[in-house]
This record gives sequence, structure tokens and C-alpha cells, in this order.
Amino acid sequence: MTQQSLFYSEEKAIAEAEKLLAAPAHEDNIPAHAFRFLLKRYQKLFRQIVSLVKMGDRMQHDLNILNQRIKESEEKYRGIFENAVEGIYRADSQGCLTAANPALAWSLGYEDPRELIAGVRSIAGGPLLHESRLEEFRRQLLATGAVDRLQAQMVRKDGRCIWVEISARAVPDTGGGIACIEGLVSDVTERVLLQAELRRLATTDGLTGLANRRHFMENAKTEFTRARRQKSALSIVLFDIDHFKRVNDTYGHDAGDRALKALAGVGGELIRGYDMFCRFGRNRVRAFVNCPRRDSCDLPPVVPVQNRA
Amino acid sequence: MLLFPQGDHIGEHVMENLIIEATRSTPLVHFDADRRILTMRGESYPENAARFYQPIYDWISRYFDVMADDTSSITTVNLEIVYFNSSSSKALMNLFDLFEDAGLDGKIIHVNWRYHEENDTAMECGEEFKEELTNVQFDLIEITED
Repeated sequence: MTQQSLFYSEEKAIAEAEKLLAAPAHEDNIPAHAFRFLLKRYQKLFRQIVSLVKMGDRMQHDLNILNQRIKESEEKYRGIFENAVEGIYRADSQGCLTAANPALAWSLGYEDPRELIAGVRSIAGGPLLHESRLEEFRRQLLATGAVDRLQAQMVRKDGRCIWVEISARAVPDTGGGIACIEGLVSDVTERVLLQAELRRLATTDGLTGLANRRHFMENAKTEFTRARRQKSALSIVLFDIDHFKRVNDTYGHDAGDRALKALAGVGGELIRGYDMFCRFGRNRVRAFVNCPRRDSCDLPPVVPVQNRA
Repeated sequence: MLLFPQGDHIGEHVMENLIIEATRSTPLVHFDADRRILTMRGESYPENAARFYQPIYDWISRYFDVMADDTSSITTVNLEIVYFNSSSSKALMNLFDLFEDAGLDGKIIHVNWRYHEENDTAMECGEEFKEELTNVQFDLIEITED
């Protein structure tokens, strides 16, 4: 069947009325049945129009209420978005930034979200510093649909690096693909630097800057295990500073400290990057020397040397 | 040719069910000819209401043609339309015209206009549709949470 207009019956009635009126015999004398037919149609049409107007108004009223609710809800969430301390963004399925809040713009050194969106194509492909982190971000997002507090470094507009934690989720579309990506970016630079500083303080000797005894012992355990497994040589050199008490007593503790620092400096220069030089006791320093092969080692393996000068 | 024809499956008058899956803007249509239960459920604001409703009108016309002189079977029409635009309300009026004509022809039609208890608009629209029908039983049925 062919498609008819929604007003098919009304159009048909009008056509019939026109036909009745067009008949020359009825020009001045339209029969009563034609009037009755038209009146019946007109009455029905009138009732339908009244109903349609009423229903239209009701639906419009409901839509207005709904719109008001949506507006209020939108304002509420926009407030959270605009005033959040953490950076929030939305990107399309390709990762291109489509929205960002002021906090994100500011933490990346931009004036406002508009400047950020114009200057940075995408969060993952733009300010993220290391390719490996970007790959990890993509991997987690595709595998699980979400990224949970991935720590990475980002570069600001002024070139300065910051540490961030990125959480994101892929919003699915109806076809099983990704409609968009919503993300949260927290600037954790202060925390990361503080953690690094705490780690440094916990593992180094305050005076000489060498590794402290605890750090040395922790590493010793690892190095011994490794040496045993690889059947490789491992050397430990122990320096004991003779008559150190006399240095302190004669020249004062400041001079003693300077002597320790000088020794630390000399020792530090002598070892290789993967060896470890530490302050073991008050007047004792100790060095780890890793030897990959016994015959290439400069020092006899695992022989503590005490040089009592 | 069947020796013992059953129900509506008589010769060429085999009535296929009409099933149209719901979309965001069109309702589910599930017209079961054998059980004589015609169901529409969802929202109705298609871009082109005439195009969406045409197959529905065609099916119903054919359904009543197949019924022919059957004036004892009851056809139940369950309608649960949460929201509909102006074109759809006119389309629904045309649908009710088909039922009214069939009712006038002696066929028994029960329309259940189902609406959620909190949806006053759907209820009032049901009342509007009901007013125009005299040869169709039209019941407003409130759906409660439990």
C-alpha cells in the first residue's frame, strides 16, 4: 500500500465537498445530505483539533518541567566541573579534547580551558611526556574501559614538568564502540617530590650524602642473592678511618666532618655507577663492588680489606 | 490446500505477526494475529509519523479483512505510550478510527490504555482518545510501582 498523509481522511472529505460544490446542477441548491456530510466531518475535525491542542499543551507542559529539571541538573554539575580543584576533561573517541575545566587549564599553565583546547590536541597525545605511559594509558583504556590513577609526567605550556595521576573511563556508544572519554587529572607533583625527598632522607647519610647503613644492608641482601644465582663475584671493601677520634679531639668536630666528607668524595669518584659506597658507622665507610666475572675483577672477591694506615 | 483449515491460516489469508523493535523515538510494535493481541509500548516521536504508522495501518486493515465476519473473537489492543509528539497523536487518532470502523462493523475490540500512575499526561490523553470511541471498549489502566 502507498503511504498516505496523516490527514488523508480530511483531505478526502475536502475533495468530496469540492466535488459536490462543483456539480453545476447544485450550484444554487446544495442538497441537504451534502451539508450533513460536511457538518459531520467538520464536527469530528473540531473535536480532534480540541483534543490535539489539549494533548499538545500537556506534552509541552511536561517538556517544560523536564527542561527546567535538566537545566537545574546541568547547572549543578557544571558548578562541580567549573569549581573542582582537580582537572576534568572530556575527549572524543580519538582522544581529542572537547572540554576541560579551569583547574586542568591552570595546572598545565594555560589561561583558560579555551586556550588549553586550542593549544593541546589531546591530553594523552599532547602534554604526556613519555610514550610508554601513553601506551599504558591506551592499553588500560581499551582493555578494561577505564584507567585508574596512572602516574605520569606532563609538560606544561611553559615547559616545566609536573607529575600527574590520570584516571579515565571510556563512555560506550550504542554500537559497542567508544562515544567519548572522560578523565580526571590530579597534579601530584608536590607529593611525588616529597616522596622522593623522604626516600632520599631515609636512605642516605645526612653528613656525607652517601647511602646509609640500612640502605646498604637492604642492597646487600639483593646483591648477595643475585651473585649467588648468577654465580658471579661480589666484593665488599671496608675502610676504617684510623685515629679519627684524635682528629675530632685535636681539630674539632667540624674538621672531622670535613674529613669524612672528603673521604666520601674520593670514594664516590672511585666506584662505578652500579657499585655502592656507604657510611657504615661513625668512622667507617664500606663499598660494594660488583664483579660480573671473577677474572675481570680488580679486587679479590668477598674479601673485606681493612686499611689501618 | 489444507483439508482442515485452522484459525486464520486459510489459504492465502495467512496473517504474519507484525513486530517492529522499539527505537529511541518509536515504540515497540508487537501484533500477534493468532492470539489477537496487539501491543504498542514506548515513546513515539518519529521524524516521519506517516511513514512509521503506515505499515501498522496496513497490517490492521488486513487483519480485519482476514477476520471477515468474525464477530465473536475479541481483539485486545494494549497501548502503553509514555510520550508522543503532535504528529503521533494524530497518527493514533487515525489508528483509533480504524478500530472504531471495525467496531462499527461488528468486531469486538478491547483497548487497554496503560499509563504509569505518575504520568497524568498519558492518562489525560487516554481520556481524550476514549471520548471519540463508541464502538470500541476503551479502558484506562493505571500501572503501579508494584
